[in-house]
Amino acid sequence: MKKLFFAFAAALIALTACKKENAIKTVTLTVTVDESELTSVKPDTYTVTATNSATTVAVSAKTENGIATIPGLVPGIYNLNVAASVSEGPAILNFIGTAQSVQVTADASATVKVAESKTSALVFKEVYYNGCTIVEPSEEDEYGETYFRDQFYEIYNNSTETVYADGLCIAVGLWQSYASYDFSVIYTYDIPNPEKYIFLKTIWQIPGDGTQYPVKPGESFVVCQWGTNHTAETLAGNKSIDLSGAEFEAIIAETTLWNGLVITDNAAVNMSRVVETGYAMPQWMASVGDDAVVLFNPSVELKNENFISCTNDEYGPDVREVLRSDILDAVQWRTNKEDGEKAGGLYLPAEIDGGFQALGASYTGKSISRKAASTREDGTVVYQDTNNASVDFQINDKPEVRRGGAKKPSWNTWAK
Amino acid sequence: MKRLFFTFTVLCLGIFSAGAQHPWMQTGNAAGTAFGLWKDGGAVNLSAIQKEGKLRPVQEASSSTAVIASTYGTANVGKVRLYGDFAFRNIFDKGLSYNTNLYRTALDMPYYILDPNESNWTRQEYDMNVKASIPIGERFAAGLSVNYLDCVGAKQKDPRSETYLVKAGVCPGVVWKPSKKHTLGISGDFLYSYERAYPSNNNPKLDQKTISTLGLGEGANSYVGGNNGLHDYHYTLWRFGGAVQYSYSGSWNVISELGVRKESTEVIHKISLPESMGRTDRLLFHAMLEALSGPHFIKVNGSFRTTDGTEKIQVKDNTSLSQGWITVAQNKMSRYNHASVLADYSFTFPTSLSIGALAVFDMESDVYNIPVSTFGYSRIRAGAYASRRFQIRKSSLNLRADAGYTASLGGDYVYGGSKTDSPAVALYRELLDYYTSSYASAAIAAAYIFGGGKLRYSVSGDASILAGPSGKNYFTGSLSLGILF
Repeated sequence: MKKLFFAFAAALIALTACKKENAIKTVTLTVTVDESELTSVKPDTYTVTATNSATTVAVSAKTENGIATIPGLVPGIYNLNVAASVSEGPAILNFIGTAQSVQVTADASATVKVAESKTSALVFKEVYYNGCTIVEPSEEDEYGETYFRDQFYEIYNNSTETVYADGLCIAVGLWQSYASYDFSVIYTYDIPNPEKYIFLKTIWQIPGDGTQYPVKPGESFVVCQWGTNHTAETLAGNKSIDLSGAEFEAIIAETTLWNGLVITDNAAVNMSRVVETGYAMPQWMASVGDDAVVLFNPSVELKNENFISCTNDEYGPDVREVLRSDILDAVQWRTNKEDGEKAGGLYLPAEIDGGFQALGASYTGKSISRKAASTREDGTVVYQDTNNASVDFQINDKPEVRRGGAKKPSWNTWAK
Repeated sequence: MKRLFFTFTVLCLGIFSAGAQHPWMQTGNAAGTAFGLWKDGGAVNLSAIQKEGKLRPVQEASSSTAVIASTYGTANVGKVRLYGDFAFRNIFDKGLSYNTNLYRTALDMPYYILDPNESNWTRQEYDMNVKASIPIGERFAAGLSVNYLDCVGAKQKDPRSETYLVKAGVCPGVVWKPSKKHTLGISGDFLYSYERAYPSNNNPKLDQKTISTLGLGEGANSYVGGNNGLHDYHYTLWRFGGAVQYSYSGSWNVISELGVRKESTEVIHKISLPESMGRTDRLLFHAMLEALSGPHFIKVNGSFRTTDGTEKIQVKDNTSLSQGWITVAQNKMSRYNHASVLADYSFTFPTSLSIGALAVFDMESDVYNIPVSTFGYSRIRAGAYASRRFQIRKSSLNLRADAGYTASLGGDYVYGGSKTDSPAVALYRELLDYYTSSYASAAIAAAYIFGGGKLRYSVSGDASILAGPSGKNYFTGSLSLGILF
């Protein structure tokens, strides 16, 4: 009876229908991996992941002879990620490629070019960007009180060789140089081969003569916004962390802020602000919500002049170009997972960081840290580094300096 | 149940004047009111309605208080017969779930924002209707119905929305009366509806997780807050339809109507950079027949609605001077069918005692195509009622009692997607729990009309209860004070 009723109804609808859409059926996507830029080592197989940009449903498949077939997809726009890792002695080679906004409205094929990147000796081990909440919002205090001056980046020697921190550069604030605040404009810059660069507004550099700050395997150093004890009652109390033992801080000189807070110059070595393309803030800070941090070893002198300008937005930023090949490590984060999963929703190219972390809110007091992969015979930990923050990092309820037993460098005599 | 009962109370207790009770008032063709008995009159009412209980669709209030001020009037202006009514409703709903931005959710509107935070809503409605008819010669008449509804609603907990809904409709019609017994009519039905909601958070530091729904549990994870969270949602509906009517006056007095409507609703996110969230195309058929002969009254209603949900596949053009979303394909991804039939018979004794029985059958059958998910139910309600009018000098007391039972004939929800923990899936599981519940119902109503001269006064009230399984009940009570003139 029920079927008869609806069959009659369907006939009525057929008679009255005047506009036809596609009859919906699943489609098949064939992905070919383009290895033309690989020089020596080539992986046997890649994992290809197709993520529907509307629903964020992801489907993965392995390649055979460089081709992956993904059947049963809902028609839509897909973001493709191709990834593989190969061990080469103590180092790991990562192969990553992406394609954004691939139309898969019928059976379709796509080619994704992969690039190779060797894992760096120095990697971000713990990143605390999110800030903490000192006073929760309430009916009496609608906004509560938050704190973000305790941001820090712990950088770890993941290799078996001693390396030096001298001259390394660190930058955050990529959200300012990548896109307008609502992502309605993705900034472009008119220089030769822009695909070989990333673009930064502010760069801080670790001083040194090249051998002044050795970092042995298993040791780490901390770069922070302000190397003080943030657990002081006048700052963030027990919601924060003591950074008085940090190795480097982004301070030029003691500064009194607009609200009377005195940013003291501490035992940590002061870094130099070698590039500042815009208004010089008295402090260095990352976005507590959406941003990325980049560590690089500049192969050319970083000039603090003759900046390049955004070409597609008159209010866009001036920036300093930095070669992608100089980058040692990078980590990117979005407040909301949904934004990172959208096409074009990340700040860095996939071969630098193929993923991101999301804490869901600002000022949660949480940190992200790299997952341990193995432990060497000498007890030093090897951390996972596939150049994909989505899989390499985990979320911690509280930040911790030298989590997992990392050692401080011998030249740090002030840390307790 | 409640609406039917309230309508009965109002109509049968004589609160409406002869003009407002004209048989053609129940059709979409005002032209028919040009013929037959018509009496000027009007009323002003102040009502309060309270609803409480768990036996309800989870997107409706667990507790609701409504205060309603309403009025209506009928008049002859020359040859033109006029009817107008206005109602202002102030509604305080508590305990709604799974709706962030729609003034009212519907099973066949799959494109909206959903969050898991149970919240209160406050609502206001301004509802105006006007009908006019004029005879053209002895055998023809023309008429026009105009209706306007303006609603504003506000969700009271993050993520919250203030939503504005406006509906404006017009139904022109003509009738032909070839003889004293027969009247034929034809009418058009046009409606424009627009709803706009902007979700936001009172706490700017905590973005709120939401689902941008696609239907039957499918949806995209989204959030409210920050620069890139969800922006304004816009619903634009156009309706085109028509109906034919027939009435007969003889040993039986019969009024009947057969109509069809086609509605299309475009759902847009962020009007400054319009992104389609989907479109629904709804086709509705309805049929109505009422017959009165002496003590016998028969009423039969039937309706069928089918709605297609179309999703557009869009890519964003990011070039600086021509930004926008470009549609590269569109697919019918879901279909929502609903059918209902009502049959009602009553017999009125010379003592003004009426007894009656009614049966209602309704069913829903929905499907989301890829991944395949289905939702559906069917149920039948049978009831009996008795009413009596007591004349006490110039006053009258009207009493009515109802009893019934709603039996579920089955239902099912099968979710075929990968997000089994999604609140959108939890919603359908809870909806299925409600629509497949069997429950008993009982109701009583009383109205007392007193006073003489040009002004009369009314006091009326009713109470009903739905008694479901596991102690799940739903109580409704109302009290109304009125002045009739």
